Amino acid sequence: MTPLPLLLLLVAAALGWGPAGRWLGARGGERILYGGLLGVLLLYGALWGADLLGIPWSPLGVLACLAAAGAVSLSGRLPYGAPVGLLLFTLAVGSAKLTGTQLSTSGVSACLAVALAVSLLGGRRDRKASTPGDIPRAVAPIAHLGDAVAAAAVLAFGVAGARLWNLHADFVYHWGAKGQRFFLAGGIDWEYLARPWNGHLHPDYPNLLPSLFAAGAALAGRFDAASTALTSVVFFALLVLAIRSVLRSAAADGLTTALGVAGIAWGAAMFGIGFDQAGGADLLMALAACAGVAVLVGPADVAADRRMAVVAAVAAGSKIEGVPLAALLLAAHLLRRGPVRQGWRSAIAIGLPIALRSAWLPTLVIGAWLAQTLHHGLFLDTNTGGLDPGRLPIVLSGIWNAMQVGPWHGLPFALAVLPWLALRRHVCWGALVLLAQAGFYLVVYLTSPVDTALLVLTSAPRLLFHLVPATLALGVAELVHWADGPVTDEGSGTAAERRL
Amino acid sequence: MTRRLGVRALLLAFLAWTGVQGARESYRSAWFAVADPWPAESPVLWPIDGGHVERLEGLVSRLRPCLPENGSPGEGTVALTVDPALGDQAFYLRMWLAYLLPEHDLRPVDLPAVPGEATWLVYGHGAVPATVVVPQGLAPACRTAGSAVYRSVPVTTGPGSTAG
Repeated sequence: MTPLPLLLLLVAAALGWGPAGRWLGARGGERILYGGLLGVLLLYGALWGADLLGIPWSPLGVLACLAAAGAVSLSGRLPYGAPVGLLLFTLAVGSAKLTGTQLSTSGVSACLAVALAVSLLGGRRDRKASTPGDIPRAVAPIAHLGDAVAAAAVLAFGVAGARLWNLHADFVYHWGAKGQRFFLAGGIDWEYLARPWNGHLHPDYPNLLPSLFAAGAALAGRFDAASTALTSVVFFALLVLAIRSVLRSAAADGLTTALGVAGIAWGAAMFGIGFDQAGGADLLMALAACAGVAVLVGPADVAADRRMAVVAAVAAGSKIEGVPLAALLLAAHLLRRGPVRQGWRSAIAIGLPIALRSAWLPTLVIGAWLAQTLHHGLFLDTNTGGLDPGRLPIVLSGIWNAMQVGPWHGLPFALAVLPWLALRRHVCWGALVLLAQAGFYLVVYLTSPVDTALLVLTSAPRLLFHLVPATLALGVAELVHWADGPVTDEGSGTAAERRL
Repeated sequence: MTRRLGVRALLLAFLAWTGVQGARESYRSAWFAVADPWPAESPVLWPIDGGHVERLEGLVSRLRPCLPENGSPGEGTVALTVDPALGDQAFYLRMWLAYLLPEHDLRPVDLPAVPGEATWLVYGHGAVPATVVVPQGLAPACRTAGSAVYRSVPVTTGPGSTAG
């Protein structure tokens, strides 16, 4: 086993903790969470750009991608120049690819030069960091003990992953298979994905995870299942930080936060180890849902727009069902920011900048995925079909069984509190997003033209994982509000005062 | 204050419960991997470091030299057929082989299965030309026919298999 894939992911995550991370207006654990997600996205963007340019994902190529991601992050121009530059470059190269135009080396170089110039010179440097949210005061030693218990859950998940005890079956069936193939091909092998007999690889899924797998393997010089699975521990650790972020946003005190985070982290580890979640993308979905909910519970400000951009982009890059999750998170965020209450002129004047700030990154990720997937004809016929309400009994019965699978130990029954949480002021937006995502899964089950019982049997326990940690975190957040009694302000204003 | 203490007590109980269940799942996961290398007959449940996959890897490593060294993906395809008698297992077996042979495209084809032999791997460039079958039990040498090399690889799903 080689530590290089893990090291690559850690370095990528660390890139987001620098100047670009400051842009997210976070400190401490939240900076590690949102900055880490941003760093991973930057690496993915660089890998994707290299693939478009035909630069192979060799060790040198991956290091160059890492350097490019680092340059964007360190320039601190992320919110202004980088998206415009990226967009210009994507439009130029992407449209050439889509129209079948052969771009010469000098043509591509010219596009790249313009894009880089716009990225680094055109935009003004974002020196003004957002005001971070409440800075936690010193917490009692017992709270640190709680954090250590949560860290133990991360460790347990990591050990199981490194020993291949909890390797996701889909690692073999598609995530790892694609990662391995991309590693051998030195980039995304669209031709391989487009083969009609490779439908089992889910060729229409976004390629964030297999790209990271392939980049790690390229750096290590070989594809190793244990090394690759071990990288999941980074996402699990970020999931724990996302749970913590929800509770901190809800102004929970140090001890309550520590107990809540440790309990939910072990709940996630229980399923992640028992139902084999290392090496799969469901963990990324759970992470995106939880981090998105944390944004929706926290202060609604400019920093929240930026964090939502990062979280929604991660959701959209994870799995195909992450695209509706990204859309739901963005919709909830925009509605929560509230410009619609102030008339349509004000709504446009206020809402447009908010929409641009929070939607540019997910739009880029979704746009790139959609363009390539449509261009190569990768969408599967089995994705959609006519609505068949007659399947409802089979679906409900399957979901009921999925909630009781051994490694869950009945934890998904906590989803039953979502309708109640949707009525609570502090957590309603997060709960509504999770309810809508659950509704989306139900619609998929009622429309997919495949064996419904088998589909529910093989997917429902994992899809529940997308929702359960975030639901539990929201539940604890609401409990904290209930324990603190009636609150008359707008949420976080008196948070510091309520801390122990 | 009472409410806050109640919430903390509730969370402590929740932590104790998930902690115990998490530890149990960890133990079960480790025991499953260490104590039982042949846990499942069905390929869908094979652990990646289990005996079944080890056996299959052995077969693939014997097969690999028989396949042209195309190296670059997409150059050729490996046409694969699996005994229909395996039912749903055939689908998952094919995916295992795709994972273990990432340098080749595995193209599923329908060939008459030979009774008693579970799986066949057949290689061909482009369209599958005439089939050459190497019977089970033959020495692991490869036969060549024109530009294509064929060899049958019997794979069964249990430790009693003659394969590997």
